[in-house]
Amino acid sequence: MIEKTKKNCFHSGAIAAEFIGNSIAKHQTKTSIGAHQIFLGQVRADIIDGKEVKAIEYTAYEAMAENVLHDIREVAFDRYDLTCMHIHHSLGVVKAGEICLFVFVSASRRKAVFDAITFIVEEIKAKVPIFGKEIFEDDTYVWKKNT
Amino acid sequence: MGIKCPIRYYGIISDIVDMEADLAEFNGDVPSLHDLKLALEDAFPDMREVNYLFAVNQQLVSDLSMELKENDEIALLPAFSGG
Repeated sequence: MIEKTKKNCFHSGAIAAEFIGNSIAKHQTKTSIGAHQIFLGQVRADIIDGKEVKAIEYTAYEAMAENVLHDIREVAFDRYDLTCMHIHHSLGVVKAGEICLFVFVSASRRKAVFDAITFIVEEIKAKVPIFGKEIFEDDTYVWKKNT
Repeated sequence: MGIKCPIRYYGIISDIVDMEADLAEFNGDVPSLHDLKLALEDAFPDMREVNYLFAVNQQLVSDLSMELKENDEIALLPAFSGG
């Protein structure tokens, strides 16, 4: 069965390791799957002008972001032979070392998931209206720029 | 007769205008995105230093001559930095 329903991809705060583990466990009943691929984005303690990033605060234009994510899902399902796909992104404050993006794709064979995960993550970075504020230890901040 | 459109500001632009949302009122001729851009850059000169895109009703719009209608939801979106 292919999951294609529109759903909320946003999480308040960091994505917990337990949540990721539970997501894996939920797929054990789907025995047509032979390959999973996971991408985890983690907040990096970059040094910017001598100051260390302690957290990123994410905001999004949520209504548009959900539509764009929906379109990315549709294209990915069309392009790759996937069984299912899950995208979770944090909103609000995520500390350095915590997970802010969790993309999980599954298919019967490995080729589809390797190709799909790259496509989906790159599309998210380029097209989804999410904005990260890099907060330093002294509570000053800069707006993050994706590289 | 004028029109009103909700505007949303994101990222560094919300800092420059010191707001996350507003209601824009346009009087007189049918306004375009270009008119709005000029008005905002007059009011907030720092906007000229930032690259940003417009979305109208949650769709990116590259043609700034697009005419606005009553209640169109406008968003000003600087560079995305998700993930």
